[in-house]
Amino acid sequence: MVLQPKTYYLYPSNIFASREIYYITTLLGSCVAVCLYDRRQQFGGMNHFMLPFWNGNGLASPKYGNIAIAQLVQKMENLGSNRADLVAKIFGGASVLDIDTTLFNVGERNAEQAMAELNNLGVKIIASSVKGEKARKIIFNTFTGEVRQKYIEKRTLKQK
Amino acid sequence: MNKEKELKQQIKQLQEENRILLHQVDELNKKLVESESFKSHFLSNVSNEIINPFASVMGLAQQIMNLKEDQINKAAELARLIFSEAATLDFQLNNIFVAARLEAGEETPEYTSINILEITGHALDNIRHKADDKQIKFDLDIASGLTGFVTDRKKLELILINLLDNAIKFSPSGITVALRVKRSGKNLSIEVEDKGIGMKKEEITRIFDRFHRANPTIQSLTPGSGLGLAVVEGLLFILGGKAEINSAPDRGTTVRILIPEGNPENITFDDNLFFEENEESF
Repeated sequence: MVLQPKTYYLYPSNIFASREIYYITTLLGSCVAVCLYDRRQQFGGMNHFMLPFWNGNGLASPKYGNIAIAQLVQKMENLGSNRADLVAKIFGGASVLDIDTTLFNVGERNAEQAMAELNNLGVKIIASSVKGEKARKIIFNTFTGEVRQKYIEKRTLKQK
Repeated sequence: MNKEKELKQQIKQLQEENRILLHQVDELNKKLVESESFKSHFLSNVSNEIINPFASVMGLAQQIMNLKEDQINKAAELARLIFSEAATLDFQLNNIFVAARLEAGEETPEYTSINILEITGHALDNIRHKADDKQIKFDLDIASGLTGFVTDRKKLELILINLLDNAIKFSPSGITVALRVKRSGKNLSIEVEDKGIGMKKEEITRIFDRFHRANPTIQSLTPGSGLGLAVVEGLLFILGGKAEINSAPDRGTTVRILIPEGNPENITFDDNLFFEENEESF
């Protein structure tokens, strides 16, 4: 019998991690997703954040990179990971022009925030596909750690 | 010569950017200090919010236990009081749990077709005793034919209760609060208008911050966790909605929210699971 992974659509500003086998999928414009994978125990989790830093407005939610990344690492550790076993792949951060934001270069800054925060936390980044001008759709296999990516034409993507 | 001019121009620009950044850091600093004090307020407030209604529920239940056989009317009255205390407790706990789920990134939309009359009815039931305590009446204008609107029922209900609760909290006794619900284009439009104490412009920008409570002078008089509007904002984000606030001191506040109709099939795990082409692997 082939083990069929469950699927999970990750909404913006959410986090998902599980010890079970999942395909986690999400759509990224200027947002960034970090996929964390535990190489030893073979499971993973993903976040999807929209802005680099929480500025004190509203709730301290994982809509913001500095919160989303720390929380994802925490979640993996709560599920039993050792930080040394974690590796990260980063996606997104495109400069999608039709995004309604007053922030300059928000995609690029999201991507840089992800790298800086992961370095801070001592998590190794082993792959990334960031910046550029096209939106992305990704699928993360939490058992193998593989992430498959496809670029999406701007017009077909709603603001994410 | 030209180069020097250019450089001077650049320096000027950088200085300007620097000034803006410093200002932002300063603002953030203030918020952090405030946030700490709000947090400690939150803990003491919230334990009151939970302990007081609980104590009431237990006391009232004890009274029922001690009633004589022929005191059914008295029992009904006590049961009503228990219900209103429990409703308060339920509402406060709901806000705390939803805020926690929002901050953990675990809150997702669950779309169903709703009956708006039923939802407004539930919301009004939940806060009616608070309104009755202050003799506040409701002026309801709920468009008929609004059945079948697709959105997240529980989230909408919690948004509504929070808005109505605030309207009651910040209004003097004996006034009328208006609730208007209608379809506006593809959106559901909900308006809550009170003739309460209102807010200054500077206040309006802060009301969605967590633990922030408008007007600290009434902090001790009006109960609450300070989470209500932060929760409303978080839930509106998930539903793709937005809020507009009109307010002036002593003139009252009108909160209008617009929620687009949700599409349960909008975001699903579609058949592109296995990309046909142009796929890369990392």
